[in-house]
Amino acid sequence: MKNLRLKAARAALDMSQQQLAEEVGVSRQTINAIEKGDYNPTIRLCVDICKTLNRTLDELFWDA
Amino acid sequence: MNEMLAIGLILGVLVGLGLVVFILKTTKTDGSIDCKYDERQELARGKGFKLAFFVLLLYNAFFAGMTICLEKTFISPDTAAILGICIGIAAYVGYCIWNDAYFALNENRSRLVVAFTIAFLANLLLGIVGVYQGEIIKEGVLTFRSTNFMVAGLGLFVAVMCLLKNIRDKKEVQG
Repeated sequence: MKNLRLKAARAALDMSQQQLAEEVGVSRQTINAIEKGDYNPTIRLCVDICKTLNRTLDELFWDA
Repeated sequence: MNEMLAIGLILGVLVGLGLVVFILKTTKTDGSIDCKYDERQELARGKGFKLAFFVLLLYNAFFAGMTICLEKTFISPDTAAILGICIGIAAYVGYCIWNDAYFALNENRSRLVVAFTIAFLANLLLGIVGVYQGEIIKEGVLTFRSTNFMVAGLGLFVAVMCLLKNIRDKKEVQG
């Protein structure tokens, strides 16, 4: 399932996939795979992404 | 003669190891030797490793079967071993490239491409020299000298896989 909330949060900060990837220390393809729903990140990476985008885990990764 | 061959092999391995360390060092952006991968890449590389393991098993089973069934072998044992390694590496590298897990985070791709191109050309050249000297096939058996072509073929395979992956990525962006 696509993670559109992550994509929207990144776009809101005017960040590219490459910029976010560099901030959290992963490859651009990994960010792309998370946004496309092709890869399920570990909690550690989720937290790093949330901290970078100033969002909570619920806001970006929780599916109600 | 055997002593000379052994010394040559040892020297070859030492030079090869030195080259590997040099390439590892010069192709990194942070000056380290270690390749850094993220968690998705580590996972993909693990799957690639598993694939390569089974490909190597199948190759060994196939080669053992061929040796049992055929009266005359068409490849020398040392060459067959190198061929198996090349096939296993090809499976591993192919899977990693296709899943964006081949290049490390701290790798300078252009420098790596230069290093691979030099290795490819050197092996191709040595292979061609082998052909001119008539040492690739002797009495209908593929000799160890043919391994240069195998390594060159591996380099070509990496280049083709990178190209195909690039084309797929571009199509994905456009689509």
